Amino acid sequence: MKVMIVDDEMPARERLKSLLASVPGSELAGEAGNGKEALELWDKAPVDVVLLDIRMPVMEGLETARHLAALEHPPAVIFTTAYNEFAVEAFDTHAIAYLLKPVRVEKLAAALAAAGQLNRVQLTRLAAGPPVEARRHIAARVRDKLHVVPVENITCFIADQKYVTVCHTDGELLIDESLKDLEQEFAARFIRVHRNALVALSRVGQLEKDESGHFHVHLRGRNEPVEVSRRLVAEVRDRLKTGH
Amino acid sequence: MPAPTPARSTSEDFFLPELCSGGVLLVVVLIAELTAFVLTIAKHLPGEGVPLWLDLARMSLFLQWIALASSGVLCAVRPHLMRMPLRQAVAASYALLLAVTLVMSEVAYQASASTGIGQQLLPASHSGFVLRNLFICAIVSALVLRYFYVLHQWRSNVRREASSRFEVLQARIRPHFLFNSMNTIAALIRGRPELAERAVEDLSDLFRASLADASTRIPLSEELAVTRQYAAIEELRLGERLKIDWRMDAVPPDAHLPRLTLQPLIENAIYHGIEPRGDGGTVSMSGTLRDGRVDIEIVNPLPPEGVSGRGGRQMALENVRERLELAWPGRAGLEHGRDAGSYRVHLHFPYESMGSGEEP
Repeated sequence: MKVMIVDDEMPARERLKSLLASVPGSELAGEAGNGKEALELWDKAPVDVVLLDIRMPVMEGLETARHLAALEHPPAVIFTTAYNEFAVEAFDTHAIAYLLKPVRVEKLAAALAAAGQLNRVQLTRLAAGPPVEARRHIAARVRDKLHVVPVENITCFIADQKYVTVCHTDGELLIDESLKDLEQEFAARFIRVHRNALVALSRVGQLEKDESGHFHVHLRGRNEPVEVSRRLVAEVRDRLKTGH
Repeated sequence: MPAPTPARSTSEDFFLPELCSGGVLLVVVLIAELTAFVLTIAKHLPGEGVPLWLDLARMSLFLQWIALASSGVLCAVRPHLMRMPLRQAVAASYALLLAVTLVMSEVAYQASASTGIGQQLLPASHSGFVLRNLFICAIVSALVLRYFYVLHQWRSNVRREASSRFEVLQARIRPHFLFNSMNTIAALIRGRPELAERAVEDLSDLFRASLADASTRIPLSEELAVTRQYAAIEELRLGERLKIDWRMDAVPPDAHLPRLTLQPLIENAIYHGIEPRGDGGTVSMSGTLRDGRVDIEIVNPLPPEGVSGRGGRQMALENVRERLELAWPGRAGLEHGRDAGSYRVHLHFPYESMGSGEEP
């Protein structure tokens, strides 16, 4: 069983490594200092189980689990935490394996043995994430490579027939999510300007009207303006004025 | 008076004490007797009428009757009073005291009139006698109830203070810090036992400081030592990510300050400024002494954009500010705010090399 260790603290990783060495049938197959590194590492060298710290910089554990669970062949996830977290309690604890630090070797062995039986239901729950938090990254595969884009780099979401295009400062990604769900999740940062478009509030520049009477909004970090539907113009103006 | 508290669970939480218990009853008897003294002496003119001792005996007998009967009545209805809102309970107690006085006055007058005993001592007017008694009772009862209420307030303040000290202690030792430190030590024991040993020593000193009385003042050198021990544990845990720039040489090491003034500020700076950053950063602590005033500034980088701030910063800052204010009212302070990508906490206090709080 290939295991990846993800923790931002070096001593914590060292300890899990030494414990792992004494659990027969398990094998260390990579370590990462935060969730983003873990996703990128997983993309190159997939593993069966990820031991995931919850509080980490850049991308914390719960969000990482959510991205992992949404992958095509997701690994089993076992959280490690120093203290009972409210965030873990947001999940049904029966659906989630977690170990308290300092981890005992017997508990680690038991959790690894049970990880093989991770089922669909658990993964779906993980993928849905805790009910309150919005993701801080969007992860998607482009030509066999997993891209992880911080939400603050995203300029807009544009819906096509089937997919949503994520436009960010370094390119575009396609994701299989509905614009409606995205609008709800990122209500604090994005605003709907059209039936098929959400734009980042912090990047909105000028709102202008062309000769044929159509409105467009310019976004910092994106060359092409985004069309604003006529019935939403007033609402967009209001939100821009208040700044939120 | 404070807003009524609906959930009064234990009998200690009520302003009226157990009047049937010995100690409290003794207090009631004493109050009644003192009142008797005051009333007798006040109306007695030397060399006139009945002798003073006779007057006092009669007054005492009458007042003790009222006091004991009132205690009995309040003791019996106390469980009912406890279920009422505070204002109603106070009003009901007051009314009961007046009622008991009314009844006892009436009984005393009738008994005296029918038996003829002490006839010459009674005032001529029946209603005048009863009204005067009610008036005196109104004043004395108000004072007694007020006394019990203030006593109760004082006791619950003492209790609250004790429990808040415990809460402050808990807030000071963040569970995350404790368990992460334990985890670090567990990781070091096998590979680098000498580092593990030092971490245990540092952690012990830190806990000793946390358990000590926070209101005592200690020399800066001692506070800095504890702060550095704390930082050493964090450095083990966070490795390269944490750098601390100490620039405290300009402040005399014998400057006194309340215990655990600087350590929580460094802890805050690491927790809010360094831990959420993937690449870490530098926390700096610098100090100056000018015109008898010590200024210390702690600066940490802001967490990256988009990270929702971790809670709890304000509480620790408020706690330190309050303790500085308590130590030097109006002469010490703490300000904090963000500017140009960093978060600054600035505190100042007078330079005093004496620890006990005398003026230099």
